[in-house]
This record gives sequence, C-alpha cells and structure tokens, in this order.
Amino acid sequence: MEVMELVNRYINNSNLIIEIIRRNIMKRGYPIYIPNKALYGWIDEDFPRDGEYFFYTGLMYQMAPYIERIVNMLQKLRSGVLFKVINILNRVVDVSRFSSKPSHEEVMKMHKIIRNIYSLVYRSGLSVWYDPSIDKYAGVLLYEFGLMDDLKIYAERISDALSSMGVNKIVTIDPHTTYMFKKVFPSLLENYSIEAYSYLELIDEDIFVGSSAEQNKFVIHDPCYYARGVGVFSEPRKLLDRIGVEYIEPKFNRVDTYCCGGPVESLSPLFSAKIGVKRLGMLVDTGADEVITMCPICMANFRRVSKEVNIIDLSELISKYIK
Amino acid sequence: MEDHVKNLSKLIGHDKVYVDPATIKLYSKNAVYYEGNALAIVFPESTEDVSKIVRYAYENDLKIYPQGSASEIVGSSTPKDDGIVMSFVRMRKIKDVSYIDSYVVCEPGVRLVELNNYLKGSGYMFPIDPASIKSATVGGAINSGSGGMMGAKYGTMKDWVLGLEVVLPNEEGSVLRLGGKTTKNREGYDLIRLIVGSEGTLALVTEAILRITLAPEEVVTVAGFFNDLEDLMRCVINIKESKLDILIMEFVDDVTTKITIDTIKPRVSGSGHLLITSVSTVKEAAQRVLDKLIDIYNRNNSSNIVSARSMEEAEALGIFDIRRNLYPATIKIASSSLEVDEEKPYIFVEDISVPPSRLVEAVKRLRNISEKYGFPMTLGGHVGDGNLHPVVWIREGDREKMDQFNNFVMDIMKMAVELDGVISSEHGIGMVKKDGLIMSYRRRNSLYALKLMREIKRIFDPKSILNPDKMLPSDVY
Amino acid sequence: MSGLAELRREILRDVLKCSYCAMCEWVCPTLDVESNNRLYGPRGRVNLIASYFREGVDIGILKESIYTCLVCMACTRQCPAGIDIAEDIRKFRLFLDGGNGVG
Repeated sequence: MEVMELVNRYINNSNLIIEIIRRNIMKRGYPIYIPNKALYGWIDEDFPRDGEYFFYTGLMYQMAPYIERIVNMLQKLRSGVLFKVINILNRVVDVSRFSSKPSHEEVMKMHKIIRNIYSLVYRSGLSVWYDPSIDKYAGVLLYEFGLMDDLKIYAERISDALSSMGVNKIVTIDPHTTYMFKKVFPSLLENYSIEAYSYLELIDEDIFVGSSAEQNKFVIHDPCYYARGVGVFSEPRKLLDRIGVEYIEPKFNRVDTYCCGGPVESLSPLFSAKIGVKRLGMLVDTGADEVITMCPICMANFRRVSKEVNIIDLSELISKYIK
Repeated sequence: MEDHVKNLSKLIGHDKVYVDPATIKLYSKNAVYYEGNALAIVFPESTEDVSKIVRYAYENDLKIYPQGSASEIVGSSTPKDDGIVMSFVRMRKIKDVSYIDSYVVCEPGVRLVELNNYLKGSGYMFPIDPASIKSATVGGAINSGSGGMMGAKYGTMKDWVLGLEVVLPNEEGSVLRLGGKTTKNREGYDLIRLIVGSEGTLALVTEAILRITLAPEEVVTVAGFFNDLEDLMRCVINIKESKLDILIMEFVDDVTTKITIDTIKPRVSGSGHLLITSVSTVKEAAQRVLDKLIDIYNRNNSSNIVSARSMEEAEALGIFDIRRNLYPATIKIASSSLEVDEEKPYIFVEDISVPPSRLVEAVKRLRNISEKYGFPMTLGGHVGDGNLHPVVWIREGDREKMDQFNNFVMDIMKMAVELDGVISSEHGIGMVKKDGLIMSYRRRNSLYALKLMREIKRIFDPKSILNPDKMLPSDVY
Repeated sequence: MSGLAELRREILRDVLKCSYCAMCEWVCPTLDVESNNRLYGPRGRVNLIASYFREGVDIGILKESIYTCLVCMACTRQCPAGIDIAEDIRKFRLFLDGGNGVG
C-alpha cells in the first residue's frame, strides 16, 4: 500500500517528469545530463572513419550509471510547487546537471563494456567504423511515453545525420536502441533505409577459444526488447555454448522472459525496484553465482536493488575468450 | 454500506478491502460479458481472514461472491450489489508436495499453470488442463469442476481432489478439514465430491490437497483430415478398439477447419474434418504405436496425415495449431463481422456432452440448429469423452439475436439430453443454464433431485449468503 | 477524422476484443508485485481503457494503472484474441498526452 501511494504521487508528477525528459531530448539530444567525457570517453584508439557497418552505441550504456542518480534526485522533489519551479528552470538550464555523479569506476565499467563489444564485432571481421558526431541517443523514452510527434522529428534528425554520412548499415549494442532502429523507425519514417543489427547477430563464433575456465555458475536473463522485441535470444546462447560456458535457464526465459522493472524507473522508482527484487530473486533462486545481462537498463536496475549479487554484461564474459 | 467497509477494514486490515469504482468494476465481470456490481472487493490472505469475513457477513446478512480469476463463462463468479466479492488471488502458496504419496497441498489462488510449472522437472503433473489453464485457479477449477483436453484419460477435477479445507457460511465461520492425503477414503458421505463443482454455493475452499500423477514417458500424436464425418467416427472407434492409451482426442469440424486455416495460417493444413489423437506410451514402443495409429487413420480414408514421435516434435510441427487457434480465429471472424466500429463482439462457447458413440448424430443436429437460427458457428471438441464446444458470436448491440440466442442454446441442450448426454460438461450452470438444468431433470422425471440440492444448500448455507441465486433454480419442484 | 479521433478508434477497436479470459495476467510483473489487484495487470488496463472511452472512469486511478505498465510485451504474447496489449497501452499514453503527433 505504501508503495502504491508513492506511485500515485509520482504519477501525479509524471507529466512534469515527462516534460523535463522530453525537453532535454529535443533540445539537448539526451534525456538526462551526462558529461561528454562519459558519453565518448570510451574511445581510446583510432577508430576507422569509414567502413560498412557504423558502430552505433545509442548512448544507453553510457547513461545507465547516471539514471539512478537523477531518479534519486527527482524522488526527493516531494512538493509539487518545487517541481513546477524546477520545470520552469529546466527550460533554461538542464536541471539533471544538479544530481550527484556516479563514481569513476561505474563510468569506466560501462566504457569497458562498449570497448569489448567493439572488439567483438571488429574481430569478427566486420568492416566497422565510428564517428561520435552521429552516435546519438535513439529517443527510447519519447517512444515509451508515447510522444510520437517529437519522436518523428527527432528520428528524422538522427536518420538524416546518418544518411548524410553515407551510413546504411549499423551495429547496435543494446536492445532498446536495436528495437528503435529495427521496428520503430521503419514504421515511422518515410524513405528509411538503414539496416540495423544487434552485435549479437553478427559475431563470428570462430573467434573464440572453445574452452571455458569459469568456476562460477551463471544464469541468463533475456531483455524484453531483444527476446520479444526483435527475436534475439538464441544468438547469445550459441555463443556461450561455443565457448563452453555453462549457464542456467531461469523461470521465464527467452521470449517468455520477465521484465527487470527498469522501464518504469523514471516514473515510479520504488515500484520499479520491487519488480527488480522479484526478478533478481528468480535468477538467484537457480543457484547461480552470477547473472548475465545484455542490456544496460536491466543491469542498472538489478544493481540498484542488490549490491551482493554479481551482475555482468554478456560481452564482459565472452570477450575474455577471443582467440 | 460505508459501515460494512469500515468494519471489514478493521477486521482484516484496510489494505485487503477495496472500494474504488474501478476495482469494483474489474471484479464484477467474467469472461462472458456479465457485469454485476458489488459493495467492496476483499482480498483475504489466510483461512483466518476468510473465517472472520464470513462471521461478519453472516451476522450482517451480507452476501459473499467468491472468485478466482473470473475466467468462467456461465456467471458463477459475478457479484450483485447486495454483497462483496471475495477474491482468492492473494492466497497462492504451494505449501507441500510429496512424490512418494503423489499429492500437492496448495491454496486456492494458485493458477493451474503455476502448479504445473512447479511440478516440472519432477516427472509429475497435475493433469487437469482446461483451455484456461493459464488463468484458472485451483479454487476456481474445484468449484467449476473443470476438465480439459486430457479428460478422456484423466477425467475432471472431481477425480483429483483428495482433501479440502473449507470455511462454512455459518455463524462461526467454521473451518472444516475434509478428506486427507490418501487416495482411498471411505469416511462417510463424500463431502469433497459435493463441493467440487458446487460453483461456490456451499463452502469457501481455503486449501486443497490434490492428487498428482506421473507425466507420460512418451506421447505420440497423429493428425489427419476426413471428408466424411462417418469415416472420422469409425477412425475414433477403431482407435478405441485397438486398446491404445488415449491421452488426447480432439476434433474440429470441416467448416471451422477451413475458417481457422484461412484466418491464422497454421503449419498443418488440409481440408475436411480434423481429428488429432495423442497416445501415451513408452520410448521403446513409440514407433510401433505411431505406426499402428497412422494405419488406422489411413484405413479410414484420412488425408494430409501428420505424425509426431514426441510432444516436442508435435509442437515443432504445429500439429495442435488448428485446435488451439479455434478460439483466436473465432474472435478474428467475430471482430471483422462488426458493422459499427465501437461495438464489442460477444463470443459464446457451449459445453454439451454426448456419449462418444452418438457424436456423428450430435454434430449433424448441431449444424441443423445453427442453420435454423442463422447463427454462424465454429465447432470443436473433445471426442474422446464426447464433449462438444460449439461457438457462436453476436454483436453486443444486437438485441434480437441475443433473444434468439437463449432459444438456440435451449435447442442445443435439448438435443444433448435426447442423445443421453448432459447440458454442461466442464463449464457449469451459473446463471445461464438454470432452465437447462430443469429441462434435463424433468426429462428424466427426476426434478426431486433439484429439491435435494436446494436442501443441501440450505444445510450448508442457512442464510443463503454464499453466491446466492447461482446454479440452482429457485423454485420449480 | 482528426488524428486524435483516429487514435481513439484504433485503440478502442483493439481493446474491445477482450473477452476477459485472464490468460495475460500470469506473466505480468506489475500485477504480481504489490496488491495483486487486477487494476495493475493487462486485463485491467485494457478494460479500463475501454471504460474510459465508453462510460468514463476515475482519471487518477486510470493513470496509475496505465503508467505503471512496463510495456514489456509479456502479456501481448499470451492474448488469444491477438490484442496488441502493450502497443495499445503505449498508444493510450499518447492519447492521454493530448495526442502528441496526431492532434
């Protein structure tokens, strides 16, 4: 009951939260403030500036550590009046700047994941290239909030920028961005011709040494938007099988996976946490020591509800076994 | 009314009592467009909660309408504004399981699908598998006397309840424990079998001890199409004569098969009436049993035969696609038949049984009735046990058709009784089939049976506070 | 027909296919998590949307129900009537927002 009362208060403030996020995306190109260094600081080598597949991070991994902070800040804004002030203020300055910063380690961890994924596609022999100026947030929250007018304008901007650089194939690295490019943009935009692939679909199995040295027991958690959204769920399993990593299937897996609770985090953090606890419980109940995720939102939500369980990204695990 | 709500909240806790109009609305409907009203919705979390509520209701003449998932389609779960809905969704613990003694103890709010997921991996299963297996709760299935696709082999709910804990609707809200953990039990009258299928009119089930059974080691399946219904029935008879251990025997008539194939593009296709048979066997015998089954299909002029050596293979081939999509296909057709945009398609599923040997006659007569009323109809059923589910659809605004519908159903029920069948097999009587009940007993000169039922109800529920006016006709005897 | 009316028509047509069978509920994370009240499950959401359009419903409760949905699409896969539940809820958020993009 307590939780529902909090949810209720949040819903009443939801229009304001939605407005802050909408304005940020449309004006600034990201839903919450993130320093440039966090967004693009993972680039530590000379990436090819041309190639067949554009490496599109969609900034989701980079944003994940910041989401929790901003949510905490919004959570503290109990008074509606203060909220309105903040909202007006946000028209001039990005208020999400005022939230506390995640630790350096957290930011670095995400950067490492992105670099790992880049290595995985690069080593698979794909001609892959990168340019930070056209690697943008894909408008996931505009879509989830149902702000289609804004999304259309925003998506056109993204798509035009990509086209102007001659991009027609992209590799995506998280399920939400993948879903936007594979399912949402094609139905929203006329003359849309970008082919999008999740990196999981493109990895060559032969780049791995097939002998896992893992002592821990793993359980696999499918993200909704990979499994149900774009039908990617057998690919990660094939890779783990190839390496010889043993993993346990939890209750509710593959297309029947169970949401981590992440998607309602910005509107009702407590409700979201309760679902996170429930799903993490199912995963841990399998007897596993570590949880394999494939989505920064899942990872962030599980980490938020438990500091004890080790939550890893699939790419961290498999990139250890590149020949 | 406000007093009742306040008092109930004080009694069991305010977080277990809901009075907002949206919640009340959602708990006042069922899966066949009945819409009632209620004073409040209560969510007991224990037997003690249930007993407290009953004592209060008894003292204050408040009616109680018990409810599982409200997926029933006869009106047995919907409330009226003289009472409260008692939802059992929060009582959903599986408390104990024993494979040696083959039982599971659970609360009434556990869904059948959850029960089977819980047993998965042990080699055991709970074999009652209604089409609503994903929504049906243990309490609801007990009170509805549910059956399912495997009814020919495993019967219905009445065959699987070993013990019950119930709360009686009397002054004390007495808690009784009936039956136990053994299969054999001859301790007086069989009160358990009386409560199973009683549609929440006698007692509130707060815990059940259910029998479980080993899942078959291997299941082989054959599907085939028949131009001639007589051929299909001969095939059924031959299969029965061949002493195979029939697990599933499903039928879809030719018109419905065509509609379903056109609407949902199943992986198995053909023309004519469809018969799907699954036989329980062991690994070593699977091929031999399968060959025998295919041979029987062939001998009876079946076409487009598809066969599978295991359940996994059957799923991979999509052998059950047409049968399973009968309802979705019907909804699609019903929706597309709407002339006005903002109307709701009403879909009604009938539930008669006839002895399997009378199925050909039953199907022919069903089609005549459908023609007579001008109701398009899809038809499928469990041939193994003679249970047929004709489905018709009506626009919600079509008053004329709705009136005709009642006569249509009565004609179908009469036909079933004339063929030595029953008017309700696994869905119940609720509010919609009371007339049928009278007709059926009258035809057997046994109306006194209804009087006996009334008396039984009175002994269990002296003030008639529990699901009043359900199942039993008020006064005709 | 205006964009908003068209959106309303699209959503309503789909949600009216619900026959209340409840097969969507067992996979819903939000139904399970707190009160077990149908209000926070797909069947409840779909029918509240229908109620909103046809006879009216408390807007506060409606919003609570609609904005707690994760749009995780687990229910969509279960629906025998083929209702695109998650998509309808997303579209309905758009409708509540005054039809950003369709007005």
